[in-house]
Amino acid sequence: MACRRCSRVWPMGQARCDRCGSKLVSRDTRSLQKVWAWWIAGVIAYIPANIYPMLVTNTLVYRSENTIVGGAVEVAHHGAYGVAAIILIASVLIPVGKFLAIAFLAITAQRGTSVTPRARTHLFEIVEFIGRWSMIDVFVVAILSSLVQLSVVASIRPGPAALTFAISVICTMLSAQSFDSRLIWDAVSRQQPRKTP
Amino acid sequence: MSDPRTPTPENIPVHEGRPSIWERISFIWLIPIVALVVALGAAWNNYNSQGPLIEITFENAAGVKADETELRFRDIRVGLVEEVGFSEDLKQVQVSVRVAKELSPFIDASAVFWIVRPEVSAQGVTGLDTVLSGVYIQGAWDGTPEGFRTAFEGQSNPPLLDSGREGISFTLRSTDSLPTANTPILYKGVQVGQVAGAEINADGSGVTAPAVIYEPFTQLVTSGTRFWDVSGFSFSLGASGARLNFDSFASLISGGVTFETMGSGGDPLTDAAVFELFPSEETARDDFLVEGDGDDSSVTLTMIFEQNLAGLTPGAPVELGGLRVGEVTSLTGIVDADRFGDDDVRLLTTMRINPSRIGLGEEAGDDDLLDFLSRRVADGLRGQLTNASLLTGALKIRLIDVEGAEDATLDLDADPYPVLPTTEADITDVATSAQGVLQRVNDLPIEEVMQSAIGFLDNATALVGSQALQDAPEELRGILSAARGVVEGEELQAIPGQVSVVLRDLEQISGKLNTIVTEIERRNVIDQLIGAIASVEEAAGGLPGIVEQAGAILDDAEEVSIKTLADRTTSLIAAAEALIDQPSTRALPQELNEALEQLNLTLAELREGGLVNNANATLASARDAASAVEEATGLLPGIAEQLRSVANQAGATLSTYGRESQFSRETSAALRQIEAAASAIERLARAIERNPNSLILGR
Repeated sequence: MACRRCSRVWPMGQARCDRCGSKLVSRDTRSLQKVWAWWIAGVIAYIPANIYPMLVTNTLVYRSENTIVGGAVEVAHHGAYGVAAIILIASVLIPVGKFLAIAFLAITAQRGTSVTPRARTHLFEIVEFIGRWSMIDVFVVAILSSLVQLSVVASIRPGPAALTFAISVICTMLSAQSFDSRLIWDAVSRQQPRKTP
Repeated sequence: MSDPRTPTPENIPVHEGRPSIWERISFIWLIPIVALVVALGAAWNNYNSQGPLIEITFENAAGVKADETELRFRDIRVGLVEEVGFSEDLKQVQVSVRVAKELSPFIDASAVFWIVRPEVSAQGVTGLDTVLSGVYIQGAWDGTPEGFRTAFEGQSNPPLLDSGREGISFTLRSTDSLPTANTPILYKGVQVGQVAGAEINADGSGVTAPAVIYEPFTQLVTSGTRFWDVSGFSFSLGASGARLNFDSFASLISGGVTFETMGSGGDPLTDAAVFELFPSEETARDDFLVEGDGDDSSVTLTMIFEQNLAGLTPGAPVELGGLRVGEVTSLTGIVDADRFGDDDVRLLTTMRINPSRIGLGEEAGDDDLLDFLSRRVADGLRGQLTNASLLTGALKIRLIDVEGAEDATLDLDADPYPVLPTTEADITDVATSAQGVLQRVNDLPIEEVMQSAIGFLDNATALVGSQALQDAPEELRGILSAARGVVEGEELQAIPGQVSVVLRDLEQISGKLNTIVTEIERRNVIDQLIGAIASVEEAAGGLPGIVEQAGAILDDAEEVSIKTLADRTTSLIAAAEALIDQPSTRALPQELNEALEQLNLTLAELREGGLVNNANATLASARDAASAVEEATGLLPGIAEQLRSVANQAGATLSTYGRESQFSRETSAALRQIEAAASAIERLARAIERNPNSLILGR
């Protein structure tokens, strides 16, 4: 079996990796538990991220609080459909898609599915790759709030949703990372003996 | 695992341990649990801290926005509008406000809400901060929780008593007009209250406005208080002259209401109190005179006047003996053929009379007043319409005693009020009088006057233009040149020279006289003369006794009879004879003769010495000189007289000619010179006459 840290392959029964000294386990038995735990935390954090305002804009005569979806709708009302689409994709579609993808992977790892392991592995890679881009909203808020600080005239502050959104993204990334991709293939190895005899 | 007995070596068995449940469950589950707890806690906290929702309805909620407009209490945010909608019938705006939880118990029945907007009025600019921040809803409630309520009626105007101001609110009423909202109530220039916006009565008969007096000024207001308007200024022209009234420039601009408590006592101010707002201080005082301190003791009476005259209005005074005792409250016409016997319209006047003003005392009630009036009516008291003001034609009612009036009584049973009998109106018709005056002016013979004036002026013009008057200056000039000739004549010029010659002669004469006099003194002539005269006096000394006696006799003679008079006269004569018979008496002539002889001798001696001749000659020449002086002096007044007559003539001519021209000025100057010369000459003449010695002695 392979060391999860340095990827050196050891024969079964080896308790520790001689190269890096980490504990060798053939399968992370708690992998799915971790996935689900982070997944749930991510979902919990994602709810207020959508309810509370992401961006608080204060001008001399005007104060507005925009949630993620509300902001996207408002932008769309002004005709900037492209921007609205980017916001929606980055802030809603991707996180929700990640939740669904991780949940799908975790469930299929346990129950089995008709989807080929190759496709599922590909899905997992996509989730891992996209995860880092989920923070785009948080970055936008951070940049805006540091740039637009004109004292009383106008200021932009991050709302409570910015924090929870960031937490949610972190949780989903951890969730995705916790997923032991070998579990996808375990099912294959279990099924094959049944088919081949 | 179909066949466990034939394990394939590639098939690495997967160790699926069965550890206890605690070992199987990863600690990682703590994270979602914590997240869940935190989320739930936050949600619960959020829900728990969320205050209740109250609904306020407004007629007009301009500027109120959901999630933006704040609810403020003492200008601090205590809530936020969550929703703005309409009432079910769409007639009002319904504003849902989430209020702070800790304040919700205080939002009870006492709470009032109004929308603060920027407002620019004469009192100043308010709500300026709302220009930028938008409007907000201001709430006010007291500090005692009395049961939370969720539905409120929003006020259209800020309440008079803001939160934190104590005071008593009451109602101001006027039939005329009330000041604008937020007008201050001033007392001696200090704001002690405020008037809110006025509203028209339901029946349109007047306007009322809620007003408030702040603590601790509420004690200044009693039922004896009268309010009046000091907004702007008033100009009145009356019998006492013109008056321009305004309280202060501040109230001139912003308006104001002031008051004065005109009577002591009276009930303190209460919430239900209603006060009349009078247009001026005078009317307020008049009302107090009639109404008193509000104990409503006035008695209502009616009068029916035969004439229906214009000019009497509600509020017109009712006077008794020149004192205002009441006022007219209403006027109507009345037609009652049964009662009066014809169909004429009569004037039914209702009035209030205050018993305390008549002098029946503070405690006097209706019955006292009616008793009094009944007695007076029996004596001839009647109501009479008369002029209140000649200028405006307003009328008033006067209660007067009419001599020989027809019998009448105060009809106490009349409906609805007792009826006081009336008499004929005493009205001076200003229009008629003015017409009479104009008629007289019209009758004046103005044209004749003008005609004669024109004739006079024509004559005057002719006179002035006449040749005689035109020649007058020429003649005058001739007179003046004649006068100048006289003054400059040689005779007149020579007078001073002659006079000085005469004076020189006189001086010489007086020197000679002095030597004569000293000579006489030297020779004791005078002493001798004095001695002789003294002896004569001595001799005459006895004479007074006789004279007195004679006087006594004459006195007696007036009293006594002629016979006794004769006797007395006889005795007097006898006494006189006896006196004359005395040797001394006889010697008197002798002595006198001797004295005279001595004088003669002296004079003879003098004559012999040539002195007398000298003296005679001197005196003769002196006499000549004096007569010459006299002659000269006699001439002087003549000259003066001549000059004066010239001057007078000239003056007379000049005065007819006029005073303005250069010519006349010069002429009068010349005349004055002539007059001065004349008077100088006259003075000289008079001085010489009065005191020739001064000429002689040079003094």
